[in-house]
Amino acid sequence: MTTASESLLEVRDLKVHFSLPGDGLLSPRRMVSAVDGVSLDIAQGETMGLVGESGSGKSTTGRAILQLVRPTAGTVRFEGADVTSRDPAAIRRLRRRAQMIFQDPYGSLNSRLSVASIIREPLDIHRLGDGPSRRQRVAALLDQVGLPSDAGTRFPHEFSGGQRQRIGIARALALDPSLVICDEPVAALDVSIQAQVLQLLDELQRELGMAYLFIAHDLHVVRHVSQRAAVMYLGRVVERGASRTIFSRPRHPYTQALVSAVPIADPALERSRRRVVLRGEIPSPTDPPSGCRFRTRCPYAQELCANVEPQLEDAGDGTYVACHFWRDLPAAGRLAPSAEAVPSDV
Amino acid sequence: MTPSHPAEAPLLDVRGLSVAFPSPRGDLMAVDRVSLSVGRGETVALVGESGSGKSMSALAIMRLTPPGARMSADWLGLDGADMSKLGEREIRDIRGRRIAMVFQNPMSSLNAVLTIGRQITESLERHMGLHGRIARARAIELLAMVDVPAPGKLVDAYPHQLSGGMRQRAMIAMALAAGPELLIADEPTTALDVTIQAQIMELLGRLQREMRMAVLLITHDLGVVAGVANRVYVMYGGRMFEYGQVDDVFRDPAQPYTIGLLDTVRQLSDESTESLIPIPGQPPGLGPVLVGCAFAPRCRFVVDLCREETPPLRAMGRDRAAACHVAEPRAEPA
Amino acid sequence: MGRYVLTRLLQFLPTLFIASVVVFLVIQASPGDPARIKLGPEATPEQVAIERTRLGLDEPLPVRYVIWLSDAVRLDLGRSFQSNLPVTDVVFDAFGYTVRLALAAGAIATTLGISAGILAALFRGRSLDIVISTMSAVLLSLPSFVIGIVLILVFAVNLRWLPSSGAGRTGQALLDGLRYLIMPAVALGLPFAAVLTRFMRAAMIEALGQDHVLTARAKGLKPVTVVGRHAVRNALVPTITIAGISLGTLLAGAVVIETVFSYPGLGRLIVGAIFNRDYPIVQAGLILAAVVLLGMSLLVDLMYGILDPRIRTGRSGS
Repeated sequence: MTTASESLLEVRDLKVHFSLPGDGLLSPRRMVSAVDGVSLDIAQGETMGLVGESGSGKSTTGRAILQLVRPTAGTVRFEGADVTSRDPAAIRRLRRRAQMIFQDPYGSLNSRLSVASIIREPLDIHRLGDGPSRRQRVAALLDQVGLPSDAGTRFPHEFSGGQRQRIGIARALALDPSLVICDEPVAALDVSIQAQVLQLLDELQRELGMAYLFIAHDLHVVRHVSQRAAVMYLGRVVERGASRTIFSRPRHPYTQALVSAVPIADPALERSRRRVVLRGEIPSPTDPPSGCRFRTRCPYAQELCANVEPQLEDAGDGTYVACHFWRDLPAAGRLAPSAEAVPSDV
Repeated sequence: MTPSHPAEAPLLDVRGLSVAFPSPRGDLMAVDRVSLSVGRGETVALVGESGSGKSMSALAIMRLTPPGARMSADWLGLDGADMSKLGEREIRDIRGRRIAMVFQNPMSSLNAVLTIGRQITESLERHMGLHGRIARARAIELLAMVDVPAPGKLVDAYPHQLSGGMRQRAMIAMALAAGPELLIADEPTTALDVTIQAQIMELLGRLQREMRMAVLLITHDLGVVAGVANRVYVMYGGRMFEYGQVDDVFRDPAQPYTIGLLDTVRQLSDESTESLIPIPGQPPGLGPVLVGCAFAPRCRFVVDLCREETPPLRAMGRDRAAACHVAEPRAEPA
Repeated sequence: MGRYVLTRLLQFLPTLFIASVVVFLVIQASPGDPARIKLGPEATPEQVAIERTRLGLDEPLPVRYVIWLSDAVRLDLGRSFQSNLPVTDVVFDAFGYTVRLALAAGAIATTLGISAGILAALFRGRSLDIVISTMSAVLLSLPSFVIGIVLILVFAVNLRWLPSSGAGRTGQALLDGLRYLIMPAVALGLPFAAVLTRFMRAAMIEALGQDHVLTARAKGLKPVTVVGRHAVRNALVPTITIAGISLGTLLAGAVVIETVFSYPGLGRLIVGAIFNRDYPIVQAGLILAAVVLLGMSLLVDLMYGILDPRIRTGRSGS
């Protein structure tokens, strides 16, 4: 783990609870714990992956870090300042230095503004530079994200999905952020376009040195882009560590199942490997299971799992696992095809 | 051009299928003279990215193209009989009975105001002549067959009360109600989480074996194809680009688009990849009939001929073909 | 479902209370002294003062409200300043006529509107659709009193088929009563039918384009089943909302139509009572109108529950 001193972002025990109206007029409101005690650090210029299925709380975590959703508890320190303290200066800094890229590039762009106005908007809001310098900046950004220079005068609907995502990236870069939270940035795109956008994000990071929090459900994508990653299930981090390690030697039973569920474009390997097919579905966050939240679907669950919630513990090699029995589990299959692609016992 | 088949005619035999949308600038071709076949009990994948025409081809096989589309085919064979000449009434007897379909989004594809049971029994009424309590009992059996918990309760549930995975199971139960010979599954797991996707693919595989049904799987996910399909067809820009046995095509793709697509997917899934080499450019949109290869603007092997002449499908080996001027026939695997 | 109804009924009460306060205050604040109007300009100030005491107008406003409310919940709404008849009788009598008129107009509007909307959607872009859409546009731009006057000119004055005004004698044969009802109901219902046509057409076009309709067709269902079971019912959900919202307009329209046809309904009663400063009648009439509107909106919500299971059963997963 990165030490606190060089951390760009430090999230400690972040919780986001929503309350939903009850079924009837007089019935109590139901509490949903979307995020329940997430801690993570991101260093300058690195990419941290956040993986999970729907309902895992990964997107809410991203939003809570940017204070787009008010955290119920926990602290978020960004560039050394506690942004959860509601200190206006810290919030202003966060709004400038931390940006977001969304999954749906169309829904997140105002369709009535020209591309240039969309990219320029953050500069206008934060009153950076004068007219000519803002225009110059927009032209430079268009070039940086690989859009033609005449794109500025056109409108979002004139562009394909991949190009719209480039517009969204240009807007996020306008204020020269140190952190960009990418929420499923390629999930809506075709494979060939996905690769283009991932390559662009990679180039931009090399050039500009910002850090990414890369939120995605696609294990391959996350492993490819991130140095470190965390796996979330029902509001909690179940495993965290170096991406290569946690996806090639997953220790938490959920990560193991996730890795084993991802199909690989290799017919021989696909036919020969044995899958951990999880039974059942993710439980409702209004009524999470006691103890370990994964225990209702876990093939190895014991009595202890229902009573005691496992905490993240150091498994050596920089990996942290929240499972009582991770030491006793059989080793699971790898995510990638490799020389020893022998079906495991799981 | 048509693949050589064993003596027995394939269950589904599509030849020269086109779907066009008339417009002031001439016909826009969504599907341009596509041929494919599915044998009895076989799993065939139809692969392509958005706009490739794969879903439109599936709808056209069911003769369910949207209003305004003009569909034509040289031959739309089901078990040796041409469906393209059938009247509306006759094709309705085939839909749901002999060819059934499962769609991508299990929420919007189910009717929100009818119970799951009702949506299954209406197929049983229409095709099996089952009514009332008997139909209901059969619906519960079908739900049990797709492994939903408490099928007796679920039969009275509405779609919104179910999770995405359960809805897709209900969709499958509905599609299988009349025991079809062919199931067309259009991106059946794309809207689902990966652990649920694994469950659904496992279920489809089991049902296919039990019911000895053929499956035409339409997907963009090459990983899913590798796991379940016997043969694969690759579409691009409304045209058929390549087909063959999954093992052959994945081991040694012939068409540059297939090569690029497989490379991209493998670079992503291979942990040693440092940086990606994506296919440049954008896929073509809906447009008039194109002269030349649709992939030419993005192709790294492009020659002048590619822009002047549309490449026909040429044999690349045993039971495989590719539409490319540059591709060479492939060597047989050792 | 029972719990849902109960919840909605409980929500009904505070709304009704607010409506009663508003009605009471508006009427009390309106200019003109009912005692003076009743006694005429020649009355002496003493006579007026005595009359004010008799009518209970000299108490402070909150006291008058509490007295009125406590009487009202016992359905004792006092007596008309004008005719001295019990307000309850007068208002309910008139209300009966309005209900008949509104029901007839509503029936005409929904049958005509919904079926025309369905037809227009099914024949979208073809001549039947164009005819229906044009007719509904014309009807929408015509105020109902214009339609009423045209109807009177054609069917009462020229053809002499139908009576031009009134509601006939009490105790007459049903068919006779209907003769009086037809024209006001048509005049009131037609613009409303035009509104429903447009909404039903749009809702049907949307429903027909939904994924589950494609699923239904892929099942091999007959077109009649696809349209009837998988599109009409789904399209009715939004249309019912519009119908419910437009009910207020229908009641407001009833006031005008009742005046045009001299039809002895609630609208005409309230208008007359306002001119005469007959407070008890106006108050009772308006409160009744509020109850009816709230009741209709409740009914619309219940209809929803029946048509759309998502509302009835909540959103909790199973």
